[in-house]
This record gives sequence, structure tokens and C-alpha cells, in this order.
Amino acid sequence: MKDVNTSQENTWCPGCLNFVTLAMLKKALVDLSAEGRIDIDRTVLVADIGCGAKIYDYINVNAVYSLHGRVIPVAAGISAVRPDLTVIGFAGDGGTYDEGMNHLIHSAKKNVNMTMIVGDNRVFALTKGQPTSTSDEGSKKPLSPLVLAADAGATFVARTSAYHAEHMLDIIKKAIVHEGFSLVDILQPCLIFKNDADEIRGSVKILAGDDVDKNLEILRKETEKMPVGIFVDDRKIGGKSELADKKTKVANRKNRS
Amino acid sequence: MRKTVIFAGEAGQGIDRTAVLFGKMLAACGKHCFIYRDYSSLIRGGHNFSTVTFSDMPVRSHDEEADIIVALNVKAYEKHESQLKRKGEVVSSQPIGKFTPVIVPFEKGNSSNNALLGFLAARVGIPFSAGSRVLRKDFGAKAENIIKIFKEGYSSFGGDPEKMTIGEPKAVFDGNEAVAKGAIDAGLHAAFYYPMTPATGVFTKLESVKTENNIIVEQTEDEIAAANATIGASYAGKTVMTGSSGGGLALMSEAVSFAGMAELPVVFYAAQRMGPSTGVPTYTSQGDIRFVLNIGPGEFPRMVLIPGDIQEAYEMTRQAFYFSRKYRMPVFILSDKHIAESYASVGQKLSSTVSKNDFLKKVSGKNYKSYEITKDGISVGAVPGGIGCVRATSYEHDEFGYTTEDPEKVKSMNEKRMRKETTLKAELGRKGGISIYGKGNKAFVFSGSPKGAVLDALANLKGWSAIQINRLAPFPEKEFTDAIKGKEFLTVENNSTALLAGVIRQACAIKESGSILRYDGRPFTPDYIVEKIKKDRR
Repeated sequence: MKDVNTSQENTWCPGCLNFVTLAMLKKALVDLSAEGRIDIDRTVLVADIGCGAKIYDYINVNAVYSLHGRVIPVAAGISAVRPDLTVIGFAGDGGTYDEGMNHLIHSAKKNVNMTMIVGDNRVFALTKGQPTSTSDEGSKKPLSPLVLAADAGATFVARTSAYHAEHMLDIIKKAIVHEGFSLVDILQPCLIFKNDADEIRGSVKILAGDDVDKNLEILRKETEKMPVGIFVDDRKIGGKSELADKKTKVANRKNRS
Repeated sequence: MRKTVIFAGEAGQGIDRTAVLFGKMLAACGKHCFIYRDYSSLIRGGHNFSTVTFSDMPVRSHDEEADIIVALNVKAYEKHESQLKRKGEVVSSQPIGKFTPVIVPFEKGNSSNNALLGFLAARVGIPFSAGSRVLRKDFGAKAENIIKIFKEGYSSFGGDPEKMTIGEPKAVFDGNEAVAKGAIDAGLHAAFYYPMTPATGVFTKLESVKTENNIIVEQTEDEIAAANATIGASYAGKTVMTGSSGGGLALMSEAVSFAGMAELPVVFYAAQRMGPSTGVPTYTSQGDIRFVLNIGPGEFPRMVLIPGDIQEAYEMTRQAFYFSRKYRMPVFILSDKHIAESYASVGQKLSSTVSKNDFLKKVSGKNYKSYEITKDGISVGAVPGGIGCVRATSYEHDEFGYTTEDPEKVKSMNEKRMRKETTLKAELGRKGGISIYGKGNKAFVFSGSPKGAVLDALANLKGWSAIQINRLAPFPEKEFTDAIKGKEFLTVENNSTALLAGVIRQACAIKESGSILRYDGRPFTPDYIVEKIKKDRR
């Protein structure tokens, strides 16, 4: 199997929580590949721009370094024409919930077969600290993109935290193998421009697995400050059967070639 | 004899379809025809008209003056009364002036236009069988009822029909259909779009034939998504296109630059309408020439092809795919409302000898370099899925596609990218960039849709020739400089600031002696050009 590491110099700040995500994403790819659940040669990572997007240089897989806010349409285009590829998008809250919110809602609605991983530090970091739509500052109330995505029709919606690596690994793996639109939000601080590490560590509440409807209610009603877990895991609605159909076709095509 | 019929009525009365059916019947009898469609941005009501000009000789444009007006109501006739020739006639189911109304059989769900069409067909000498064949082909299962009405109209014509000599049958297309057909024939796999007049027609045509051609056609949430999804599909190894009109294209501009930087083949269909901004949505213009030449931040090679008629719309679409795939860069097909939505008869089958090669490595080997630095600037693309990683990036990069800000690497990658333009210019050589018509010492210089009117005007002007610019980028400066030597020239443009003349001045340092400009949203007609010239002479 191909080595997922690259020799590119990592320029994230010392101690940045992106390192945890990078390690867990790489591990997820290696594990899933070893389990035969994905083909690493047929995996594409689509990055936004900004700090998080540098992940493009740090994982040795097919990759696109796209435009700010446009990870989802680029990934959706790949997914539409190549159902044999595993398509993973990676962006921050600024790219996904501000600049690219339109695409998030519509791709959730269309149940595009892709995984969207969002490093949600609730700040525009690389431009030096402006608020995003998930920040407390700058508006009456931050947006709740996970609830919006769930209501729009995303078939897998989950949140994890950069301080809970094992939980993150589990969620990322589930999201990648899920057929349909998967959204994974990763709570993390920006150590330089929004260092709420203590708050995240103190407030994160891991919701027990199975009852996703109950979990979604907790998220919606904000009965927990920072609930993490799976909020939607729907294998029935959306284009599931169509997607399954596509996958079979791809499998057949692969067998032929 | 060149003849013109104007069909006029309200939106929703089937003006457009009736005019096209009439054109198809004429073409089935071997006539040449050109159909101009004039409609407002509304769904029901208002005033629409279509002008059908036809002849035994090639027809490349429509005329303002009509031999026959088919009026679906009195108001429609009044709008066009001044255009009726002295011995002109009116076909209507309502009493208008001295003309006898056509009796329209009442049948539920039918408007009068099929009866009027029948009457008209008989009047101009279209054999009944030719007319009914066209209706059968167009309406399929619903045809029989329509043919019945058509027949009643046909029989109600009591006078002497024109004698019609029947020639080799022709097909009728509009520009958007020709572009869609060109794309399919080039091997299109996927198209993403957001509707905007007058570009939409290409994508609705593709939608209508996607199943049998096994292509993916998706309407996205906006133009930004359309362009970026197209880029994603291109990265994935597919032959792709997107497109829009002015405002929609503006939203795509960042993606155009992305395709330029990432070196991904993308064909952009740019159908101009009258701007600026929302402008005059359903009317024509060539106001986006500079915009398309400059769209997208930064410097990167691009190609802009500008067809002047239906046949060229097909051929240049084929070329657009060839060059975008070979040189891995954005290529624009610059059309406008008058090309996109006017119909014309086409003699030959729409086909082309342009290569359908996708220039792709089917498997990416272990040390595959997405941006290999080569002498000709072209780095061969690969389909992701092999052992080597395929990378595409908006950030400056090294040969493998890894991010770099190193000054030497930044410079050499920039030069590699731009070298593609030099290679492209060498391949293009000195042919095809322009077309020359006639030998006169005075020349009309135009690009795109004024072609029909200019060429049809040449027949009525002594001492005039015409030069068509087929490509705005890379501009055919050597070809044009040679061709224009010793000639005075006027540019003919559908804009108010002579944008084409500016492009010529910039590329060739040659100045026009004037311009014939039209910027009321309406296309040129031969008379419009001839009048301008004669008026100047007086």
C-alpha cells in the first residue's frame, strides 16, 4: 500500500490542533484501506485555502487544492463523474459555513456522495482573527451549521473534537464509508487567534452512539454547550438506493478491467 | 428571390415554434432560411415575433421588410405594419385591412397558428406532404391532430400558390443546438450549469439527450458551483463544459483563473446578451469581448473562439474541446444571443475532422508529475486512480503539484504555463484565424454574429470586402496584418465602444477608419449596413 506521508515541510503553528486531525485522517485512510473498505489509489482529498488546506501537501493521495469556499462543488463534480472514487473534502468553518454555505446546503439536499470534514475553530485564522458564522462575536447568535445540514438532508452529520483523537478517528472512518453526504465538524481552538482550548476541553460532552434522533434534539435545543457525536446517520433516505446502484456498477466495471 | 415572413403575436401563442416549423418545411424543400427570434423577458403576453427570411440562394441573415406578416392578433399586425412591403400580404384569423381572414377550425386546446401555418405553406408553395412530414417529426404522437388543423388551413387557401422548385433537403438548427451537438461529438462526459439566457439552450439540449449519449448534465445551485464542479470533473479525467452569459460568467471568473492555474481542460460557453449588468436580457450584444479576454485574476493562457454562424458554432466547439484537452487550459466559445437563438438551414451534416483525442494518461505511474516542466509547456494529464498521485492546485506549485513560494520555482512554473501559448501559436500557424470574403479595397472587419448581415450586404455594395476574425485569443495578428495591408476598414460591431477595433489596435497597432456600431440590442441586418454606407457617401 502507498505511504500516506509526504516529505513536505509542515508550516502549521507549533502545537496546532490540525496535527491531530492530520494524524487521524491518515490513520483512517490506512485503516480503511487495510480493511478493504476504500482503495487508497482511488481516494481524492479536496482542500480549501487557508491554514487547514495545507493538509493538501501533507497527505500522499490524489488531491486538489481548490478555492476558498469551493471544496464542496469541486468534490461534487468529481463524485458525479467518478463514483468509483472516495472523495473527501477538508476546509475550515470560514470556507464551509461562510463563503461556501450555499454549497453545503445544496449538496446536503442532493445527498452528494462525499465526506466533508470541517476544522471548526470559529475564527478566520490565516487572515488574523475575524469572526466566522460560528463565532459568538459579530452577530446575535452563531449559526448551527450541523442542524442546517441535517434539515437540508445530509445523511450523515457528526461532530467530534480535536481533543478526543480516538473519537475523531471513529467518526472520520464512519463518515468516509457512509454512502451519501457526510459532514464532520471538528471543534478545535486556534491557539493564536481564538484560544478557547480550556473551554472546549471543559465543555465537550460525548453523546453515546446509537440514538441519533435524541442526539440531534440535544444539538437543536442546545441542552449541552458542546455536544459531540453522531446526529444523523440515515441509510435509507436521500439517493441511497441510487448510490448503491452506482457503486454496484463501479464494482462491475472494476471487475471487468 | 429572397422573401421574408414575420410571425407576430403574444408570448405563449407559439410564435417561435410556428416560425421554426415554417423554416423546417422550407428547408425540407431545399430552401435556405434564417430565423431571427425577438422576444421579451416575460412568459405570457407582451409582443413576440420571429422573422423568417428564405431563398433558393444562401441566406445568412434576416431582413426588416416583410412580404407576408402572420399576425396572431390585430395588435401584433399594427406593430409591424410599417415593415410590410407595398405588395405585401397579411395572414391572420382576424379581419385586418383588406385581407381576408383565414378560417380557423375550432378545436379545444388548439390555437390558430397551425391553421395559419397551413394557409401560409399553401401560399408559398410548400407541398402538403412536405409540411405534414415536418409536423409528424416534430410532434410525434400528437402530430395527427395538428396535421388535421394544418390541412384545413392549407385547403382554405384558394389563390394561386407560388411555384416552388424542390431542392436537396436541409436541416435547421439554432446556435445552441449546434454547440451542444459539437460537444457531444467531441466526446463530452459532463456539463454543469445554472440557467441564464441566452446560454441555457445548450444545456437544455444536452439534458434532453443525456441518456442516449451517456453524459452527466447537472444543474447546480449557482454559477460558481457549476464552474467548480466542472473543474472537479475535469480533474477526474472527464471531458467537460460549462457556460453562461455575462452576469453568470462574472460569477465563474475565479474558477476560470483556477482552471488556468491548475491546468485543467475546461470549455466555457459564453453567450453574450446586452449588458451591462442585467441589461436587456433577451437581446443581443457583443459587449463582453474585453471581459472574456480578461476574465479571471492573474496571467494564464486562454483561447477565445468566436463563431459567426451555425456551422462555425459546431466546428469551433469541436476545436474548443481539442485545444482545451491538448493544452490543458480554459477555452471559450464566445457566442451571443443572435448566434445562440437564431435558426438557420444547414446544408451539410454538422461534422468535423477535428481530433477527439483526450491527451490523457489512463493510469498515473509511480513518479507521475502533474506539472512536469517541458519544452512545449504541456504537462500530460493523468486520470486519478493509478499508483501515482494526481494533483491539481490553485496555489503555485512544483512539478509534483506541491505548494511552493520559492522564487525560482514560482518563476519557472509561471514560464512553463505561459509557454503553452507559444506552442499553441506555433500549432495554429497562419491559417484559420481569419476568413476573407471578396476583394474590394474597403473592408468590413467583424467577428461573430454580424457575419450574416455583413456577407449579405456585400452583394449590394461595390468595392467592399470583409474580414472575419475567428479567434480573439491568441489573436491572429500576422494573418490580419497581412490581409488588411493597403485596405481601409470599418469594424462592424454590436456594441457602443468598438471593442473589436480596440483589440485589433492593441494586437496589431493598426487603426480602423471607423466603425458601424449597433447597440439597441438588435442584430444587424444587411439593409442596416448598406444604409450606413450609402448615408456616409451622401
